[in-house]
Formats: sequence, structure tokens, C-alpha cells
Amino acid sequence: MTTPSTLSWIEPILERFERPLIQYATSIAGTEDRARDIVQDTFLRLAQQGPLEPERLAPWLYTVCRNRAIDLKRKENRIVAMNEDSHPEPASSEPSPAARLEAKEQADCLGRLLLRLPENQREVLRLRFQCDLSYREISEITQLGEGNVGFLLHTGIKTLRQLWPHPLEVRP
Amino acid sequence: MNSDDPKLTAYALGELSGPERDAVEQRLRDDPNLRAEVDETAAFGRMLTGAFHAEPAPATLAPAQRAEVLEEARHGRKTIPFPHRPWVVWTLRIAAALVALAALGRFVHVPAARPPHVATVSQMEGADPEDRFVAKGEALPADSLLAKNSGETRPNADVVGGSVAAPAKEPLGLDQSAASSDFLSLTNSQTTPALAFRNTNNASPLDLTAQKPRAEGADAAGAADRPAERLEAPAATAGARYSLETKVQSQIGFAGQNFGNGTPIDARAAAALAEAPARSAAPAAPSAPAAASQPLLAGQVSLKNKQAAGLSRGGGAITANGDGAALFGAVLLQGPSFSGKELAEAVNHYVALGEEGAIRELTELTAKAPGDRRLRERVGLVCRVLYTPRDAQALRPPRFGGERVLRDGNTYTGTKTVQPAKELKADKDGKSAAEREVSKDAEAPEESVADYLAFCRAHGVFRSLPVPLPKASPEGTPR
Repeated sequence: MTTPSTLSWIEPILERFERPLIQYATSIAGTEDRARDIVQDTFLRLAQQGPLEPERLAPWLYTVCRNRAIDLKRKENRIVAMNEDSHPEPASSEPSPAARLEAKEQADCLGRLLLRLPENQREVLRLRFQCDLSYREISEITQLGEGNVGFLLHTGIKTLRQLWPHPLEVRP
Repeated sequence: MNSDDPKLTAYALGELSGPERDAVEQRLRDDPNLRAEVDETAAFGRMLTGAFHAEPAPATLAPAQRAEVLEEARHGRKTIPFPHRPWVVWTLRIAAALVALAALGRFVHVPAARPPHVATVSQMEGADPEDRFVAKGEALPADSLLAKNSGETRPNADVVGGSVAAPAKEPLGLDQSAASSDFLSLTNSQTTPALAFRNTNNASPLDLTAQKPRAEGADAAGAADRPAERLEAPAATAGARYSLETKVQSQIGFAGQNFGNGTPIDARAAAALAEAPARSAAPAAPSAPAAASQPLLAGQVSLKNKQAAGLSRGGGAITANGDGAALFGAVLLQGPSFSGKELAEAVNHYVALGEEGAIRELTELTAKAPGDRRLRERVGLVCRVLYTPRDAQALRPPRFGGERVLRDGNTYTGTKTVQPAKELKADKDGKSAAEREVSKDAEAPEESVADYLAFCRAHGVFRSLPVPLPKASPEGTPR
């Protein structure tokens, strides 16, 4: 058991990025089991690499994770056919039942609509809104130009907005 | 600026700053419709954030996985098991033991154990018989490495011997066909192939058994006339009798991984070594690390490339870590031609540099020429020879710009070899095989050279010993 005095430099990073990376890897690799292997490998690489500058950390982790996931996917020659059944059941983080229901509906709806987007748009949307990464970081991870990232996000959002069935709460 | 401008989305998501942001804000002040558009986009972005975050929290790593990561961070291992396959470890241990065994018996006569079509090494074209080295189990005297009358030091890659191939297996080789001078491929048609450089256009059969090793006396006499060149064959060269060998059955996968490490590693080879104790009294070959740390010999460098690199011929060794070495690497990879010989030279150059040095130099070299697609392709080729896979699957090709440098089939999988003439021949749809391959991979994610090197490092093992040099056809094999 790790005591505070022997806290490894990597533990806070594990705490912060473990779940988002697994979530992201799952979106590429298809299953959580594979995603866990991918993320473990990502952290092993980080452990071997040593501490990184904070501003480089997230792009590095997501880049390695992405590459691993894509490698694995290609290696297994497996196209993960996502469908409504395979999309993770949205869960709630809202306190009230009504809010929970709304969040569930939105996440459910989003899951369905995302499937109608091209994979590259899905990925940048996920990196932006799920992983809270900037255009520059997404560009670094996906090896796409920042302009291309902006275009993909713009197009993806526009399409989703057209398809989105629920009213939006717009506040200037 | 209209409502379909990606800049509006970027602004709504807080991605703009400075003059760009000011310009958009000015525009929004003048156009309420655009303002409404931006507000809606921002609201939708917030909703998306909420919806994404409302997805169920994923599981964390298993305790064992987490413990392994922490252990790695504390102590730092050299290798990363991915995925964990105990058999890989055992296979590598066995391979290491056999490598050590073979290193002891490097000068041991190995009886010919290959079928005639396997493990032949030749550079017959345009060479007189004395230039041909016999690969069929004949130990070559160190003197035979010395230069001939041409004045150019014989590449020590000519010296390939002690070949032991798995019976009835097909060779894996760097093929250099003079029939199609731009032909270069790595082929492997069986699961446990032998490895060979072949010249497929040689009119005469590569019956190397008919060729005698160069007479020591003759070589000595010739060398005596060229004292400076004799100096170019230090002890390291004496041990540079490479064996072509098999892989450890199908466990390690890519047969080429052991290419040139001087180690017949199958049981038959080990037995052959054990049967020839007398010859093991020959001077010991350098160990793998020692060989890797040896400077590149001038004889390993083709005259053309030495001249291109501004390195003097006959001037002795090119030190691996000197400026000349870095220049040499750049010239090789950016030169006008890149045949199997240049590829092998480049590989040997980076083997001599060591893994860290090679990665550093390759990264720096490609960073200086980001738009040089040809350079990236060559680096990709070099990487695929420099690194041998850790597990049963060969290293994938690089994905530079969505295009593959080599098709998968070139290196390890099937029986097919790629001949550019065939590859480039348009089919009835007007597309060549190469174009179809590229279009098939058009959606493959691009990666940088650094990424591909990282991939190779994670999934491969850096070669420790140089590879033999094939002799280029007279007109070269430009790629």
C-alpha cells in the first residue's frame, strides 16, 4: 500500500486521467476490457518516460492512448460496430430524479445521434466536450491541423444541432 | 463572415483570442443574427459537455494493472509487456541463450543444412568469382574481407556464412532484382524462413558451394599491396561473419528479426555448432554489444555514399558518434538512390549509433525536412529493419500521410513480393495496385516519424548487430 510519504509522482496523474482515458479508449477500441489494457499500457509508457511538463501531459497521454487503441483495433482487424445497444447506458450525476431523467435522455439521444456522424467528427467532439481539450491539444493528438479540427467540430456541432430534438436553454 | 463560419464556432467555444476574437466580436455587435447563432452554439456546447459527462463513469484500472504502473514508475523497466504474454519472455530467453551459444562458436564450421534455394548470399553481378562469398557453412578468413584491386574496401557484408536454415522453409530476404532495378522488398513466405539477400536476376545459379573462399595467401598478398586498407579490417571485421538464421519457430514471428545477428538459433544449428569444437578455437567474435559499439568500417559504406557524404575512402573507420556519422546518415536517407544496399548501410549506421542515438538522429533529420515524403518513406523502411517485433506479429508499416511505405505483405505475411512494375501497372479501373493500397489506407490516421519510432520502440526490439550488405546492381536501384 502506498503511503503519502511514498506517493509516486504518477499517482495523481492516474487519479486524474485514468477514467477519462478509459472512456476515450473505449470509444475507439469498443470494450472496456481492451480500453483498460490500452490505458495501462499508456501509463506504463508514461512511467518509463518519466514526468512530463503539465501542459504536455494531457496531449501526450491522449496521443499515446489513441495510438495504442488504433493499433490494437487494426491489429485485431476488428471494426467495432457501435450501435444503440452497444452504446453505454447513460448514467446520472444529477441529484434530482427529474434532472437525472433529463440527463439520461440527453446522453441517450446524444449517443444515438453521434452514430450518424463520421468517425473523425465523433472523435473531435469527444475530445472537446468529454475530455475538455483545446483545439490545439486535439490537433496534437489527432495529428490534424487546428483549422481542420475547428472545421470538424463546427460541422459536427451543426449537424447535431439540426438533429437535436430537445429545446436548448440559450443564454447569452 | 456568415453563420456557417467555423470561426463563429471557435469563438462560441472560447477558442479565439487576440485580433481574431476582436474581429468576431465586432462582427457580432453589428449582426444580431450572428450573435444569436453564437449563443445557440455555445448553449449546445454546454449541453454536449453535460451529455458526455453524463455517460457512466468508466471503471478504473484493475488493481494489478495499477500496481504494475506504480512499480514501473518507481523502478522503471526497460520493456513494456503489451499484452502480457509469458511465452514471449521464455522465447526471448531461449533465443538469448542460443545467441550466447552461437557467439561462442562463431567460427565453428557449420555443416550445410539448408536446402539449395535457401540462404544464399551473393552479389554475383559484375563480380569475378573471387568476389563471391560462400554462405554455405564456410568460415571465411579474416583476410578475405580485405579489399580487392578495385581499391574499394570490400563491404564486410559480403561475408555471410555459417548459414543454417530451417529445412524446407522459404527464405526471407532483401531482394534486389536487377530485372526491375527499383525492386526492393522483404519477403517471407513461410512461418519459419531462413533469411537471405538474393539477387534474383542473376543468370547463374547461386550455387555457392562451387565457390571457394578466397585463399588466405592470395588475400594476404593482395592486402600486403594495400597496407592502408588492411588497417581497415580490425578485429571486429574478423568476426563479421554473419549467419543467416531462422527465427525461433513461429513464436517470435518476424523471421527477419534475427537477421544478421550471427546466430543460428534453431536446434539444428546448435547441434552443428556443438559438433565442431575444433573450429571454435578461432578468434572469438565480438559480443553483440561490442559489435554494436564498433565504429562503422569504411568497408561497410559504399563508395558512392562515402563520396556523397564527403568521407574519405580508405581513411579508416567512420566513427559512429562523430559528425561524419550524422552526415552519413543524412546522405544515405536523402541521397538520390535508395537500394537495398543503401538501406542496409543505413540500418548498420543506426545499429552502430545505438537505439537512443538512432532515434535522436532520425527524429532530428526528419524534423529538418517535414515536407520530405521520400525521406519519411526511407526512414520507415529503416525502422522496419532496425526493429524486430516483440511478438508474433510483424511491426506494422508507418502511416505517414495516410500512405504506406510498404504493404504489409512485403515484409512478413505471405508469399507475395511486390514488384514495382506490377504494382504500378494500372488495372482496368485505371488504378495501380499502389494507388488502390493508398486509397484503402486513406483514412488511416497519420502519424509523425517520432510517433512511428515510439511505436517501433514499444513493439519491437532494436537490432544489435548489423545486417549484411547486398551489392547493388550496376545501375543502382533507385527508389
